[in-house]
Amino acid sequence: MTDNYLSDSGNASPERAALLFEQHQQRIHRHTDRMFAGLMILQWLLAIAAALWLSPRVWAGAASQIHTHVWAALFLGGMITLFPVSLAWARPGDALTRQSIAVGQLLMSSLLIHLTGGRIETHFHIFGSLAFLAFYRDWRVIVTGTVVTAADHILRGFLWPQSIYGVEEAEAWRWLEHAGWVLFEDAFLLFSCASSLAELRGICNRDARLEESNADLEQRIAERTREVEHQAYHDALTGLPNRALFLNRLDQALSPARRSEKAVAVLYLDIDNFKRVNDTQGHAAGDLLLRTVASRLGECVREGDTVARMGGDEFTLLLEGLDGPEDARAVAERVLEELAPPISLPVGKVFVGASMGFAYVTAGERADVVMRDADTAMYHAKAAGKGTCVSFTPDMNDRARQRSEIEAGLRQALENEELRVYYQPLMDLHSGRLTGVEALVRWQHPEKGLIFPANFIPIAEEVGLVVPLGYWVMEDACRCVKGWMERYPSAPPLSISVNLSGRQLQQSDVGARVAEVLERTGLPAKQLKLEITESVFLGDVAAVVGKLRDLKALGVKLAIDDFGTGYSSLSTLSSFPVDTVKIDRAFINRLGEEEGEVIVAAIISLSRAMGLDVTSEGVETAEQVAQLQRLDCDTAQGYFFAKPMSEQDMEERLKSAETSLERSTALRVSVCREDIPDARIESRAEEKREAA
Amino acid sequence: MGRFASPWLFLAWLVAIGGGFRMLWRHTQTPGRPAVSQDRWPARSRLPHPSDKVTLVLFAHPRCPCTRATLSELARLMARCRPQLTAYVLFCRPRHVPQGWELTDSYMRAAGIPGVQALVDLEGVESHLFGASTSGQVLLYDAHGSLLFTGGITAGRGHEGDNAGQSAVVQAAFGEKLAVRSTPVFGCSLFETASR
Repeated sequence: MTDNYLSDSGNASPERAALLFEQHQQRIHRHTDRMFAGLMILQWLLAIAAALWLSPRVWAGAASQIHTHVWAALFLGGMITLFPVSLAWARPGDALTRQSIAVGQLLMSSLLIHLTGGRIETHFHIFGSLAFLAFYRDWRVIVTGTVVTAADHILRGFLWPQSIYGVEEAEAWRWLEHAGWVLFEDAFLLFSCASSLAELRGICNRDARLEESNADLEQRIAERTREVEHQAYHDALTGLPNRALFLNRLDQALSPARRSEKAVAVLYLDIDNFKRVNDTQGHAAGDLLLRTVASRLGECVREGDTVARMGGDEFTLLLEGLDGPEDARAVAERVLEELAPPISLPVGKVFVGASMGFAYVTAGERADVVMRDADTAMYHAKAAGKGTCVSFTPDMNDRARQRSEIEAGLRQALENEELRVYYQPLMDLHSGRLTGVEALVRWQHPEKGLIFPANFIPIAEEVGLVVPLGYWVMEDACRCVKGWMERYPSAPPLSISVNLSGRQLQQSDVGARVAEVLERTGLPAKQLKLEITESVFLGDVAAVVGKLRDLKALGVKLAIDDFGTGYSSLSTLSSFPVDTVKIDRAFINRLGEEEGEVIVAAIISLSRAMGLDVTSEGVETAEQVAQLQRLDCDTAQGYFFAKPMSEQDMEERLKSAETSLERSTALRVSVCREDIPDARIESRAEEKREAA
Repeated sequence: MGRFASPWLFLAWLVAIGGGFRMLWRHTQTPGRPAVSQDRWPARSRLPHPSDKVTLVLFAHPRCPCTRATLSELARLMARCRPQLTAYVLFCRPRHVPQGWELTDSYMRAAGIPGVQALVDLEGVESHLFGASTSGQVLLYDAHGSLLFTGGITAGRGHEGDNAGQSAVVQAAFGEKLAVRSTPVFGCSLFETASR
């Protein structure tokens, strides 16, 4: 496209310019035809009026009759006028119409001149008529007018001078005078006509160029619009429909108008291990992986179904015209099969799977609800183990709703101080003395009452609330123990065990924040024992060890919680700077069995060899206490001694003198007031919640 | 209309108009009854005949539209030949017409031409004496009362412009030899058919 399309330079298509010129001229002709039609009617009426005024009647003495001029004006004038006017009405723009008008107009001049007795003033009608004919911008009309005028005056004046000049032989100069007037007038009009036609041609040329430029521009805009629309509704990487287009198609598929049709299913797919590929092999490999997956997904569906990329490693499939959920499941299985073969990437072949959830619905359902259901099902598939497909069920939403309620409530709970720290004593199995307490959080819900951590800690972990929650518990517990120490100086120094979540440990400033807590509360660092689970060693071990060393440098003690259930082993235990091993209650419960006793003995023995203290969790019976004492376990906690209690209850206990093993037994009795079997049931249920 | 609007129809239209113009032209060029003129100034005429000049007598119908052109030509003639011409315009007043019937714009105009006497010819007595029967009839007499020219001074009905009658009057006024001694007269009849 030329940039100077508005300038007069450059060549337009001659055919288009000629067509435009013709169209313009045709429009001008039609307008001028209409103008002349009105003009001719008007001048006809004027001719009649002139005849009536100048020569109304012809006389013979006192008698008279209507003058021939009146009849001539009426009928001859009508004849001259009505034919061109009719043509202007019926065939505007036609060549014959304007030629008739040109002839008629000059004949009317002749009639008017005649009716007015050849007055010189009426000759101006000829000039006026010719000038008006110039509106046609058609030189042929001017020529016609010239011919008529010449025939009427010059030729007639030459051949029959008496009819023009009133004498038998006109002088040559008079003939020349007439010819001069006609030629001057017509030459002027022809020149102006040619000039205006040239101008019109110029305009048409420019318009043609503009049209061509506009057409080019419109084409480019249309192409760009198509591109933008495609980009707006398609994923740039895979070329698949994006979320917007997918939702649009889902809306259509679920529209009430299609209620009578078969059901639809939405499959929500998340690629397993995509992040690992992306992180280890780079984004280019990740992109190639996504394109390959997109291509394979396309082979799993029928024509008319939709495969879309939602973003990241999430894809969706819209399956229409299904007879039942089994159809959707069949497609899901085909997808899993299709994704099973390895995918070739520049650095080698990788295996990826997918977790899929699908929602099967009939028309009339809302698209966003269906998408949410499929998404929920997909998350259940992920939770259930990767590489599976789960169908959505309504109870999934209930759980999800519960989770979201808990999440929202938990945020409020932190602000409204609805969280409480409970304390469970740790008993020295050798001396029978209270050596410390473990801080356990509870949620005092204003409506639901006391909520155990198993119901909200996992959600707090997911949404990241566990970090502020953990530090809040830590600070509250440290402050509490510090207060007890000040109020009961005669009581033995207590250690306070607080759980440190994996999320907290992932943060780079964990050491600094623990130090701040200790500084704010004034609790000696050696009295704080942070409990970590074995799962923290699954990630970057070196980083974890570094942070643990930072914490150790503060003077705090470290314990491995729930030892034996996770991924660590006794051989790796020596690598970590921990002080205490807490044997999981699962092993303590099996102390009655030979195998269980061997395991607990081995843990205690090896821990001893590595110089670590050993704490047993979930101690519930006197037999277990006796066995642990025999196995040389250092400390224990559990319902046998006391269940977790509020700050006030714990303080009540501290008010009494030293707490002995015997008294702890009494304590258990006083707290539980049930028989041991019942206490065990209660203990297990509650401690399971704690453990979760 | 469309299928009839062919060049043939256009030609037919032209022919029809040509016919109309021809009829109109014939009407224009159809002269009135010429004067049964006397060779000498009528003795019984009450019009005074000047003995030193050429005398022009124009007989006119006061309401004849064509006579306006004759009066225009007369005005031109008088402008050119006034010292040599004495001119009378006699407006014929038929019997039984109301008083003032003859006082038309033509009468006023004739009366306004310098050197022209506009007179009313009651019941056409003078017209009969001179033998005139068509409005626009001009009779030109020399100083001795001899008829020099008879006819009209327009080229057609109501048409102004050069014409043979006008030229003849000018020639007579200046004592030249007349190219024509009579021309057709174009105008209304001075009298009703019965009275003629």
